[in-house]
Amino acid sequence: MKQRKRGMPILIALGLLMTMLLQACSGNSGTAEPTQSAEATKAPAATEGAKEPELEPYEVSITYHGKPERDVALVEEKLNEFFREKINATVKLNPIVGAEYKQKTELMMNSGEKMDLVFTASWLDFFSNVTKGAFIELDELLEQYGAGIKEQLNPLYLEAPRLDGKLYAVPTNKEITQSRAITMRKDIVDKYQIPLESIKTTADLEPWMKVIKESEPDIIPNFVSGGGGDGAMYEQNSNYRPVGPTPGKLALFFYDYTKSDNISIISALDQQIVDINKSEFERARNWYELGYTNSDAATSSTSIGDVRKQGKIWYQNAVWKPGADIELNLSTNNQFEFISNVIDEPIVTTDLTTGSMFSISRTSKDPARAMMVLNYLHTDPYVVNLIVNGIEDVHYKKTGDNRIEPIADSGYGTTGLFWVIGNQMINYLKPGQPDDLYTNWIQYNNEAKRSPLLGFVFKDTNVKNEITQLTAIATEYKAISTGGIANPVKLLEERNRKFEDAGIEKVRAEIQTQVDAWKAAQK
Amino acid sequence: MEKSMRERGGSASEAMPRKKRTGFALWLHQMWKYKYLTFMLLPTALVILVHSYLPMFGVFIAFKNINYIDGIFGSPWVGTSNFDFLFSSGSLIRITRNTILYSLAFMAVNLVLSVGIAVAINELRRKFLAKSYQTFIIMPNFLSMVVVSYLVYAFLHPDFGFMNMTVLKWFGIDPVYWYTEKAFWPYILILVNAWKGVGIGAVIYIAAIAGIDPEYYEAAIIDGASKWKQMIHITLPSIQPIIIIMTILSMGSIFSADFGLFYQVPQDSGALYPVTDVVDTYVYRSLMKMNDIGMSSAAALVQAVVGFIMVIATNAAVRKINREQALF
Amino acid sequence: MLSRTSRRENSLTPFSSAILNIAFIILSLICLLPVLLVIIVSFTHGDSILSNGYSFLPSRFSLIAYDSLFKDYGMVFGGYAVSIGITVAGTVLSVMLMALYAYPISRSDYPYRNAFTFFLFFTMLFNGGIVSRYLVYTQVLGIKDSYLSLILPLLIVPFNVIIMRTFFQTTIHPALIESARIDGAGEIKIFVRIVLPLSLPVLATMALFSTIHYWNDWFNALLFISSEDKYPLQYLMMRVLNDVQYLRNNVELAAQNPTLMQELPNESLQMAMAVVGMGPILLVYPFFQKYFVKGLTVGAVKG
Repeated sequence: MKQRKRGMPILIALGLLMTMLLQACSGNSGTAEPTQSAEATKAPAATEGAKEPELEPYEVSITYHGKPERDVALVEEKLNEFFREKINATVKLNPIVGAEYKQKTELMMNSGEKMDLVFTASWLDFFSNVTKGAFIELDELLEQYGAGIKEQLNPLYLEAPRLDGKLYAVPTNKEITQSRAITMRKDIVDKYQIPLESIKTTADLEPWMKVIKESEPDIIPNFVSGGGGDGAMYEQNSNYRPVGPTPGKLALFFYDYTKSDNISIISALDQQIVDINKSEFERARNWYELGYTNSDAATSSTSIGDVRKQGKIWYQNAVWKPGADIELNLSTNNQFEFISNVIDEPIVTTDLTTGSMFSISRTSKDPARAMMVLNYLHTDPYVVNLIVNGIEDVHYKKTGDNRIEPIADSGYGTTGLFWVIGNQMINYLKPGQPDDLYTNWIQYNNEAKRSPLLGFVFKDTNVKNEITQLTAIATEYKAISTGGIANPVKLLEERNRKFEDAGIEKVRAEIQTQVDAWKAAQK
Repeated sequence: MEKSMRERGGSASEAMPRKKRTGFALWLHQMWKYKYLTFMLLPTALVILVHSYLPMFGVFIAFKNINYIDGIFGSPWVGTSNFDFLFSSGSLIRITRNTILYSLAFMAVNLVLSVGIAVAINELRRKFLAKSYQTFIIMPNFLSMVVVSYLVYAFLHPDFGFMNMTVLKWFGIDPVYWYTEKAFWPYILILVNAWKGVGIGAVIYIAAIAGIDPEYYEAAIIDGASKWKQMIHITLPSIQPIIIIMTILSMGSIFSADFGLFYQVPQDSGALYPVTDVVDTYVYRSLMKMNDIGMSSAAALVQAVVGFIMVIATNAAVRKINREQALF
Repeated sequence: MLSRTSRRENSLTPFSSAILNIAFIILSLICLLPVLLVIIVSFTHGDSILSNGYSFLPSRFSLIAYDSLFKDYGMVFGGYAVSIGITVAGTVLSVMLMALYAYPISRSDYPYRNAFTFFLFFTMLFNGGIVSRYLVYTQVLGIKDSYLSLILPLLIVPFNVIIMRTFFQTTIHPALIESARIDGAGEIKIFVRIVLPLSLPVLATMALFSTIHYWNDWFNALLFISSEDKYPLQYLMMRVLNDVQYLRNNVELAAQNPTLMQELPNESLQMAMAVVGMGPILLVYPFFQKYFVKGLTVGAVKG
């Protein structure tokens, strides 16, 4: 005790020093950098009012989801040549590997670092970041500087990334939604005369599982990977669709997409959903016991892509859009050919529409210029293809008007940025892609049916605790759908009991209230 | 210049209250006496101050609802509501039990094995062999948990895993679906943890034994003490302070767990959660989509506080028995 | 010399020595074989892994993993250079600073030892979290994207300082210091001339820990480094490993873009990365090892 006392003064001295340093530090982020924070908040206001015709030089940073490649700097240089001439701007490409993207960008948002264009998406917690004030409103900027974007995008796109009616992001122009399909290898379909047209659900595959199991020893009749998930069981067996985006992409709350009035939200405890779950889980278990399913189904992390390339699968529950089959062919280096039976009509949901977007950060010092750059990303094939495919004759060769052939090991263009940057419809076509790919997409987009909940965003503030618990429970039991675990129905009941204890009904009621309020505000 | 200095000096001594002067003088005297020692540790103290204490304001995040506009300092206080998710969780008992029991098991197993290896390696006659063994047993430490999880998977894969295909086949036992059978996992995890950590843990004890004065052993030999007796009466008592300190320190992480070990090695298999779910994995699972640093900071703070209490308690216990060996 | 002969007389019987050796051989194999497996898998053809799993005797070998890893050899060697630089500089600084702190708080006569021990220990448990550290590093210290941001975080490991302190307490007898002081040596001289030479085993241990720590650290590079040419090797490797895990865990993302999965490195490439990452660190271990041989230091000082 004596010793502690003698040490006290020095501790106090250090403590004082620390608080002083802390004050200096807080002062630092609060006042010592007024230039940054003040300008950031002022900038949008400034652009609203008087705008200087002469543009000051400005560097627009583009932060996006993609693996950095060797020649990023070369591409950046070319982009700078272009943008300097057009809008006296330069760009800073800031690709971040997928695995780190969320953590790194959120760190930058938390610490208020300067960013301009930021890639975001519903699965990157776009809406919660909007709630926290990460991005600025874009309606006016889009009006002023984004004429090209509005021309190119299907109007449905701009209905979704909104919170309280205000636009916070511009989606990438590509297929607006996806359908569910049962996709099979064509050679197997031909060999066994499988009537693909009549197979509408996974259960319909049952007789063919037996055939494949007996006559194709190298093929795993039912390959399951990824540790479980919902597959397409709701799409195949009902009109219910999960409400999205909810945290964790939990398929815990559903609505009937064919009813646009009086939308009623049901939870995973609803008898109709429970019935679907029961029969699907039982079937999956049955298949596992019959040896149709790979034995490590519950935990396998082998990617279906590897197995597909090896010719070990004959069917998969796939997502579909025009050209999807060809993409699958390409993913096996054209060793196998695939055909699909699309089993549901495409509906445009908030979740899918916001799957790939760009926002402008609150910390941008010149949001107007960022929007101008974004406009070029949506309209100018030269700019888009520069970022996606690289420099002509260095990273790819042009083989046609709208067609290229990538150069192997060139140092750029292999990471697949097509779905990330601006407008995929003006990307050059790569070998194997059909000429009418983009026209088919436009048609598909135009024909897609609007979900009655398009534009609805659930705010979790009131039920945060319930949702953390539900997330934990849902992930705990996610493998019961794979068949790899015994007694799935018993486990399902156990899970549902836990859901009940965790307050699933409270969350459902909250969603219902918000949907009703949202619906009322729409009119 | 001179004047102002004198003035300042004068005012300082005047400001000092008279009765405290002796205490302060004593303090000054001590300061002066040990100035070199203090001077030695100041650079490091500064590094600690800047690196560890400056960011300490982050602890307050646990009591705030952070938004990007107001930043960390301006965001509103929300009391203890960030802690609710942890304490209202239905799994609280399970994760608390798992975390603490595994921590204790790891501590005990690793301690016994590390000390055993260190003592044994020290008895080897051929130094060349001793060195080779040492090199081999620290190797697993260099593999990342991702790679370790692949290796474990290679062992336990239901179809072509070494356990099912070779070991169980020999004994004529039916294949086991390891990743859905929770009964084995406490042992598997303890084994994997020991395999990865014991070698490097032994290094500390090997160094401790290397520091023992050979004269003790010489005296013991003259007295005719057996190897066993030397170990009990010289080696172990000599490294006892290190063992005690290691134990006190590991108490600090009793409520934390190696995320990679508990998440990647069991392949995040839900069927195993009753025995693999620990605080860190639970927090990850429930918060992975919540994007809420307030709640994750709250969890980290709880872990630190529990660790802190444990260390203080253990330290107090040690202090009662032997003051010299306590941490402080 | 005396100690050596007496040790020999005192050694184990051949029988128990044999038992001990057998036990250690088994232990070594348990540790060595999995590492060997990693190396073999890195040379295994991807198809062989998919159809038969890992095997010590794979049906098809392939150099393709190393081929594609060293295709960008500039990056790999750049990563090595950064890693080695950081590790050497970090380790030297770290051991120095930690010893300078550990020694005073090991002295039972030092009046502030408990205060400073607590000051250190507190940081072992409580920290502000990543966000506040990031703020301090980038905005107060301004060391984003600099090598300092890789060195500073691992400089002081409280756990190791406390271990070091305990070593000083147990191996250096207060009487030794007292007699040196009577001989007229100052504190600094005592530390440099007496304490440090007597503590070579613990210094070597801490240097080893620091080396491993710095070599294996990739997280700080993730947080603070943004230029490609400043990335340490482990980060380059972990980035790929993490990305594989990420794509596999995000089944939906992958399903929407099947071509994304096409370029994914298979397990042999991942193992090759593990091998490339851990190779050099295994080579340095014997260097530290010579300080662990019992009696060496004490004998040397006496002689």
